Amino acid sequence: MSQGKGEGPAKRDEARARVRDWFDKAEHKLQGPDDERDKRTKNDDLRDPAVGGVPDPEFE
Amino acid sequence: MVSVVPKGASPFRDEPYFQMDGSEFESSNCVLATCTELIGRVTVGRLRVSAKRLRVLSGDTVNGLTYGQAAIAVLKATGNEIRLEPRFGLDRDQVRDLAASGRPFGISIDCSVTIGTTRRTGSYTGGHTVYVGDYQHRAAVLNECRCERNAADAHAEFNVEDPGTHATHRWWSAGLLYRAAEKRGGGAINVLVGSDTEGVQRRGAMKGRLREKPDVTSNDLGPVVQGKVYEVIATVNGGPWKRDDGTEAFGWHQIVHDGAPAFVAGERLRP
Repeated sequence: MSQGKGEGPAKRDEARARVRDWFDKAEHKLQGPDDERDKRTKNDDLRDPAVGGVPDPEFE
Repeated sequence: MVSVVPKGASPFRDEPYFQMDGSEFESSNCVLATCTELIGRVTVGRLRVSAKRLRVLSGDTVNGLTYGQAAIAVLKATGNEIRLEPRFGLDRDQVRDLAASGRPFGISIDCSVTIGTTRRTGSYTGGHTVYVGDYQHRAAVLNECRCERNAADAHAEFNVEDPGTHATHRWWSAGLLYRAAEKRGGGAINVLVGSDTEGVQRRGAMKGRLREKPDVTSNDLGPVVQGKVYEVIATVNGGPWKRDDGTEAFGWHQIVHDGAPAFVAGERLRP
């Protein structure tokens, strides 16, 4: 299987430098209190009857 | 208390927080349960704020919280000390770099993508948030893989703690996490990011001892000097130490002292 985007090796210092380049760009931040992108992070209810209730415990 | 996380794990992994904690909003508290773990990681075990407490501080009583709301609740809970930062519209390289650089984060996923795998959240198929604490690239070597693929090819994995299960910290293939996140984010990825804990500078914050190993019973190498700047090589899980409230924590800073490794309990050093 070939490695895709975001799957290669990444050294800490180099990764940190890249993060520094984009982390505070406005395009990745909240636009305002009604930011539509943030609304997308609001989770559903795990007890939604449509999905069958409380999640099953799962062990390694 | 015995930690469910093995000693030596690095970066430090806080005790998992199961969101079904008996509180009124337990079924919709995945974002705040993830915040509990983020607070633990960035304070190296010094602070443990329950999702139940964060929910009260949020003032929200309708299903889940957004990352913006959660970040505000965490600020309130920590006296403005811990700032979690929501970031939106990321690509895969950006998400890899967050974890590889030493930052923990919560990530918004769609469980309809994970439902057919061993990384599923029970039978749930909706929107969810899980905690991500590490990234590793696995070489094409037999028995190197730790994720659900059980594969021998070169690939990447994230260390994930799903607060909706009792599964604890497990490795997921990067491909699975990316697909689940992109489905939820409409093609891009949304995260709630904590601060760096690896390869950072921290100051001595209170009296304590440097230890030869991450354990309070290990050899004493001298005092923690309050106000002194220490270079933290990494954070690591170790033996228990007690917080002010009497509860136990397992986070340690690894530093260099007189040319050799030394360890400091999480609460002794602060940004």
